[in-house]
Amino acid sequence: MFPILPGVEINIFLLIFIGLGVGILSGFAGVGGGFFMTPALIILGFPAHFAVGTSLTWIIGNSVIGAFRHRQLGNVDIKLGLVMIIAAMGGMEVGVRIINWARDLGLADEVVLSISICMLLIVGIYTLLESTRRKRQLDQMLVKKEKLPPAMRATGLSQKLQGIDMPPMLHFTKSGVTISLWIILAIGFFVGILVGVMGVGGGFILVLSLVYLIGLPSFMAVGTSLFQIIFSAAYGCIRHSMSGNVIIFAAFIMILASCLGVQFGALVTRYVRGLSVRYILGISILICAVGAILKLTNILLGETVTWLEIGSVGITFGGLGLTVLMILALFIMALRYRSGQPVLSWVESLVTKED
Amino acid sequence: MSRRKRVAIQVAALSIICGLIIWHVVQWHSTGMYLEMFRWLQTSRGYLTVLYNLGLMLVLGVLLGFLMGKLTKLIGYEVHDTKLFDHKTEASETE
Repeated sequence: MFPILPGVEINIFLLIFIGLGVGILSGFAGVGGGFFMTPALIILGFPAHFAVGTSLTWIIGNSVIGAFRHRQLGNVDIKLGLVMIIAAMGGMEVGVRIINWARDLGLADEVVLSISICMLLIVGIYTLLESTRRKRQLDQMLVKKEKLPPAMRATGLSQKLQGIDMPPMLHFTKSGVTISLWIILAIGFFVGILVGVMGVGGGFILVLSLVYLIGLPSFMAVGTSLFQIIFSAAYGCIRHSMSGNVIIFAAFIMILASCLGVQFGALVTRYVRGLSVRYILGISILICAVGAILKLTNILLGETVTWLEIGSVGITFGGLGLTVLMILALFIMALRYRSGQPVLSWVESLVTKED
Repeated sequence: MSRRKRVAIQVAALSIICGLIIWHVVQWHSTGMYLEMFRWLQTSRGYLTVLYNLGLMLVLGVLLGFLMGKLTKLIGYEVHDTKLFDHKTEASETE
């Protein structure tokens, strides 16, 4: 045990373990990882407000490292990220004001949590269904011995949005997308409102909106999302630091661990198809939704229920462990596939032979 | 000077800078400086704490990001291409 603050003693090895695990997920899926990190810190013994502030502060450093790595892999569209973050910042402020207004009206946290759960379930289920449909399509191509293309668009919706001719049209050379500025601003603003209302860094919403609405390849969405998260997390860090909610020493320990995890997670993206990122992201979002449902149940019951607490710990650590294990398994399968060794047939459409 | 040697020197330099930052953070934690900075939040010096938190994470992120990038270069990992859409076959793939 290590004293972080007077009265708060934390097991330093658990901090390292969590930092490493969330780092792998962050580097692989382009999320900040706050939806696992914050509950994990609370379970470790951090008071809730310290957990949120420390987690957001850690996300800044973690996202910088992830964005650096993904930039080297050619996965960051800085121009698109900057345009979108301007709109998203405006949306975030509106989202925070909506929350404050709702509280003034007497609407309790339960309402906000219920909206978040609905959002998580819709996005998570849609992502899983889309990934499953695409996987089936790829499996059929493999059966017909057709060569799989390097990347495929997730949906036709992004092409319809790109087809709307509303000047000024912006061309993003890096991601090969031409789209109206107004559409990017509208999507960014809407994403920002959701982030502000749900009170999260918004990585999973960003990645999926970049893939499904703007039409970026999944890996480009991962890198660009990490780049945008730097700004949204910095905004959160400033607000929480001013309130004294940041334990910088804990964030520092976690970043030393997560920097290795992020590298690994980002490098695994060179071995898998974009579909795998969407699969794992969908599963993570649903795990997060289950955690939120338990939290809501606890609030509604108005008292501490043991099985709910145990369930919450299980969901947080089990969910994190499960996603990290899936990433590791994919990596091992991809290595076997590349070296010509036999792999499970359902994995073939998830991994790639080319670097 | 060979490319590999140059990268090795950069890795060494970045490691030293990161090491100094680690030493500084551990030192400030053990001397109780961070607790003192918590108290600053109640005074006009509070902005220094905010800037320090933000700055430490950004600087550490950039340095570790650079360091890891150089380390993988030193190991010999190179990225050859970026995975983008195959525009020639795209029309038949979209749903």
